[in-house]
Amino acid sequence: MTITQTLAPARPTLGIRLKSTFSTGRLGLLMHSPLALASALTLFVLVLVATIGAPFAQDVANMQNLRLRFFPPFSLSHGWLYVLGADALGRSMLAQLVVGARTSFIVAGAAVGLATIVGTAIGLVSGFLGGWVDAALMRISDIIVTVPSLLLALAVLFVLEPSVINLVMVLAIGRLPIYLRVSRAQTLELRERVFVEASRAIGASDFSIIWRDIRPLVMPTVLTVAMLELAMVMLAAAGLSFLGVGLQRPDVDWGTIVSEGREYLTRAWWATVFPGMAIVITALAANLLSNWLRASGDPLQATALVAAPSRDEDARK
Amino acid sequence: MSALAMGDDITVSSSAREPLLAIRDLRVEFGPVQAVRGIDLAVKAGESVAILGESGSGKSVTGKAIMGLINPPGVVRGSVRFAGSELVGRSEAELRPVRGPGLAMVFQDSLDALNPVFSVGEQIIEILTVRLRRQRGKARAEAIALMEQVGIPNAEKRLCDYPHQFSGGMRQRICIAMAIALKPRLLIADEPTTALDVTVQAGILKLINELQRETGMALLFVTHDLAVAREVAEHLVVMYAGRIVEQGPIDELFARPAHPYTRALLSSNPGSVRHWSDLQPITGNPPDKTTVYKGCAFAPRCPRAVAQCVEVPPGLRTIAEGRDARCHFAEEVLHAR
Amino acid sequence: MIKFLSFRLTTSLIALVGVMIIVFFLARLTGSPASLYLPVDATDAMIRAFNQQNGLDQPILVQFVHFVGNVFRLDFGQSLSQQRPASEAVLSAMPQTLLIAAIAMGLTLLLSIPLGTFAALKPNSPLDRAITFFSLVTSSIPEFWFALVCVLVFSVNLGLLPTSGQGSLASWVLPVATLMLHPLGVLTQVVRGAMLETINAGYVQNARARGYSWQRLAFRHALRNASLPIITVAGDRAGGMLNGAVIVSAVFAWPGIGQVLVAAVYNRDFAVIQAGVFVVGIAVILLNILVDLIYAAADPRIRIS
Repeated sequence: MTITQTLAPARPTLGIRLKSTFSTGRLGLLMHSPLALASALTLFVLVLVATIGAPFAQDVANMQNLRLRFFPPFSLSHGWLYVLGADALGRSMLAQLVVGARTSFIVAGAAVGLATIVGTAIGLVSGFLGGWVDAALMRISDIIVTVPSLLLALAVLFVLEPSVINLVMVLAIGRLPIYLRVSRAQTLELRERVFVEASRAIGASDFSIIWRDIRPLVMPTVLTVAMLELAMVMLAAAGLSFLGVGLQRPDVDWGTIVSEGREYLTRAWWATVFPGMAIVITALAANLLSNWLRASGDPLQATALVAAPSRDEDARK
Repeated sequence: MSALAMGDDITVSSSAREPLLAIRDLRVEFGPVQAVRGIDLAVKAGESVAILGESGSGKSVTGKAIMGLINPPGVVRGSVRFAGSELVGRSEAELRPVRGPGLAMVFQDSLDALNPVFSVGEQIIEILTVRLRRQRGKARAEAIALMEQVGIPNAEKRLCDYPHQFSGGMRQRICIAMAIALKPRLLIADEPTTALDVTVQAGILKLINELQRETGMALLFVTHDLAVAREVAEHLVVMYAGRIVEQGPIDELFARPAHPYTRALLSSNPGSVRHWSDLQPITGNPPDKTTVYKGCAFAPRCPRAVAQCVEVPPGLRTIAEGRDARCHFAEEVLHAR
Repeated sequence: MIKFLSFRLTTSLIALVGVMIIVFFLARLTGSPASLYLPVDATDAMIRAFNQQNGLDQPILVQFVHFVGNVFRLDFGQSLSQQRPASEAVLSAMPQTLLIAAIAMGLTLLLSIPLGTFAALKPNSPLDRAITFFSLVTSSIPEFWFALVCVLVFSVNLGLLPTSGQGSLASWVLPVATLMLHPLGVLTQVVRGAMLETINAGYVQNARARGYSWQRLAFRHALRNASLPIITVAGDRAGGMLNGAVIVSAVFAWPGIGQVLVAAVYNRDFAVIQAGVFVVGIAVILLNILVDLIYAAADPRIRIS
């Protein structure tokens, strides 16, 4: 669930090699790649369900009906609401999944967003200023990476009471080092370039150089990493909820539902399998999409699972 | 080892006066890029031929195509017959027996051509143990002998050194040692001295000449350097825009070029020409590899070009004993003073 | 090389000290464990006595100085829940974790290297796409859910494998598979990417011109050069298996450091948490040094310079 446990910032990390993938004109290309298009549509529908469907499903999801305890799935005898079965308290699985979707998306999105903003900001400053500031920040990053992230989260959340905000904070801190390293590595390279010298020559402040000259060039790579991280953070959040320290009722995410269903694994498999499937489908769609983005940015290095936009092949001599 | 026999067997099958290497209408395309646009070439056993051309003329691609080293999306068409056997269209497995004892190659960048993670000794020994099934001890002795043969001082000690610990010239010597380890019948050298200093260059050329004389192998030497070509080859092939524009005995070509391009290359006094950079610049741009020429590819830059040159493609014609040129006015160029 | 290693070791130890400081204060934040270990109706005097006995009544900074002094003697104090020294509780669990992590990483490499290589040999072929899809799927499955579904299918429904505990060979199958789930997909893609670069390198083409078999070209000449990124990621993932160990202990009740640490967090067993993080930190540092040594063994340019 964590990408690195290493104390070695000097080693090549995968993130740094990712090329810019957020250039314009991708939308048209998306149309030509069925798998990527399907992934984008899946994510779109899921987000739509989570934002529009969840408020309606909220009440239904908490409606207990003890006569429908462990009602099996794929039967319409009690209406569409129970097509995916019911849990130990007779609550509709479908409604719970819809409500869980919203929480899962909010947690993953907020954690990635927070880690991206803070991590990139620190990385930019650290890489640009260098010296002891840089050294200190890199050591802190090493520290975060050294502790198994799950254990850290376990300890912190155990202290702090489960809540959406705490979960987001813990996940964000755990993922900070990746953005920090990627943006720092790029900044280190960019600050030596001519246009930075030029800005300095006309008297631009450090802040202005970082913001106007360097940040726009670092962002595409950072966003690519963030895209890749979405699925991973989603899995991590679910894992924490599963361990009982992520979220607790009334907050429900997909991990919580799996955790609850686990107790009845042998009696009602659907209470465990369906929420997990929801996680897998979402994560897979996000992974496929970001894989396609990478492939279209760098045809040789990245996996061209989904047809990458064609390029004129140079004669390989 | 089915269709293509190895080593001496090939001699038997090719005794019937066919040249060792016979290329017919070879074409190599990379998508829209036409790197080689149909060349015919013959190399007799023991002969040394230089292919001369600017970068982008298709000379290096020709060398790789002969070895079967063109990767997709590159497409090779035409015929390459080596020692009586067709090589184009063969599978990797069928080409393997020919590579090494039949055809060997020396590449331009010796640092790139040697595996950085194995010592040079390991890499030479590997050839002998894998391809000749030598015992390791015997292979080691042979490897040392090979390194001495190509002029590496302290060969036994340097066996354990890695490529990055050698100088450029020494590295290229090791590449040559690896190429001749299986006693090839034809050595293809792809600009082996381009990356080297002039003084080192001379040593390598001398080595290649000596080895060729000692072993009797044929040599196909790809270069962009007139002086280098003259030093190693008897026969010269000049390429332009993926085609052969002129070929013949090298001294005759130097004395009396029959193609305006060769003539421009040689400038007025061939003796003074040491390098492309010394040449009278040829006006106009080098040819674009994607362009399909209706007439002569050199016409846009040719001082002699007339309307006919742009409209009608000249064929490669025999214009004198052993001399071919691809120009409507080859005879005029040949006799011009 | 030695200079590099000692620099690496120094910075790693500084990082470890930082981690220990954070863990110490973090653990104190969870409040006194008295409420957990004493009966609900414990009197104030009993709580005071408990705190005094365990040194918890002193100011936190005094406790910290005490703690630092003891760490140098590798004394992490007494485990509250296990009634034995914390270092013993942690160290006795380490071999289980190291063994299963080593098995899982070994199998992961054994599978990912050929898979990634075959994908790289024919980029964009159906095989390549299938392998890539497979690795994307594995990295999209939550480990805990994978473990549960495996229990459901193989243990509950088919009755082939035990659901939990450690005993016969069969009991290792699901925990090892769970640990491999994410590293396998990631490493396969790393192998593929690294091999794509080396397979077209000049030295591989040169070796091809000497008439070697594709197996020799791929697995000897290209793979050895592609090994640096593979080693890096394998090292990272080996360290990350400690996370997997937490999941594995939660689902399969698998003994090991994961179980010890999770229990320590729930039991507010400060001494065990501190000892555990220390030991895990040392293990990660050693792992990194091992990775550096493998680097040097794999690439003479690192060794000789």
